Amino acid sequence: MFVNAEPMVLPGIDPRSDQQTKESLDSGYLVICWDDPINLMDYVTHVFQKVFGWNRAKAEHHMMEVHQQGKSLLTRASMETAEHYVHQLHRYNLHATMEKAE
Amino acid sequence: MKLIRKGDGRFDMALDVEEWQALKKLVSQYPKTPEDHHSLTCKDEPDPDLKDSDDWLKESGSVHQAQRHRQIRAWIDSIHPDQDEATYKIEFDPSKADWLIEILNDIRVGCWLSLGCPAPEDLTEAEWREEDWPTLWAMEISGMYQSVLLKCLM
Repeated sequence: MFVNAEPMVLPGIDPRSDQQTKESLDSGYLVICWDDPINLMDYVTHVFQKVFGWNRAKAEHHMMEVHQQGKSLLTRASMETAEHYVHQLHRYNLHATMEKAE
Repeated sequence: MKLIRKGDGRFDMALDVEEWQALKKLVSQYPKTPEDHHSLTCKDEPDPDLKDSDDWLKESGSVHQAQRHRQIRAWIDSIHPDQDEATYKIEFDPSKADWLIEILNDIRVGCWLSLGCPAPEDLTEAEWREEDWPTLWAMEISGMYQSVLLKCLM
């Protein structure tokens, strides 16, 4: 009777797995909103709700962080998603940037 | 500027002639903020990986401003006084209110930039040149309209 043998896995390095690991590490970007003296506090809260779909309490929490600490880390996302968020925040004229997560 | 009806996420505002003229004058200034004002990364630490995206962002911002400008013209043309000729009733849904708040903010930020990004205390204490008064007026009044609309959305 023919029995399927267990596949044997030999130790070694698959170059694809190295690439995948690099991609998954590269996917981390931080979206940061910075304080400025011109945007109204209620406006910043409103924009956070619109862009991220947050409830008012969460949006206010981040707005207060911006106001009191000078900046707030809004989210961590892939490069494309982070770009999308920063782009949206810029359309509303908030001072937002993205940077690679360490 | 008075809130005259609110419900189902919509609201109606009544503006007298001066208020409507002021609002019209403000939104007609759009766009006030330069297209290249924003950058994806901190300007002193540019990320080379994001250079293309940054260029695309500026191009896209320009298209967005042109589209908004056309919408403003159409919106202004759609507003007419009531029969008494003394009141302008404007109907808002959340999307239209959000749109107008964004426009007003562009004007507010653009005015602030053109005044040299003054700190809040400088706005009241500095001696402004007469030619800056219209810009200061536009910055303050756009903020006032923004606040009213934001309160109506809450």
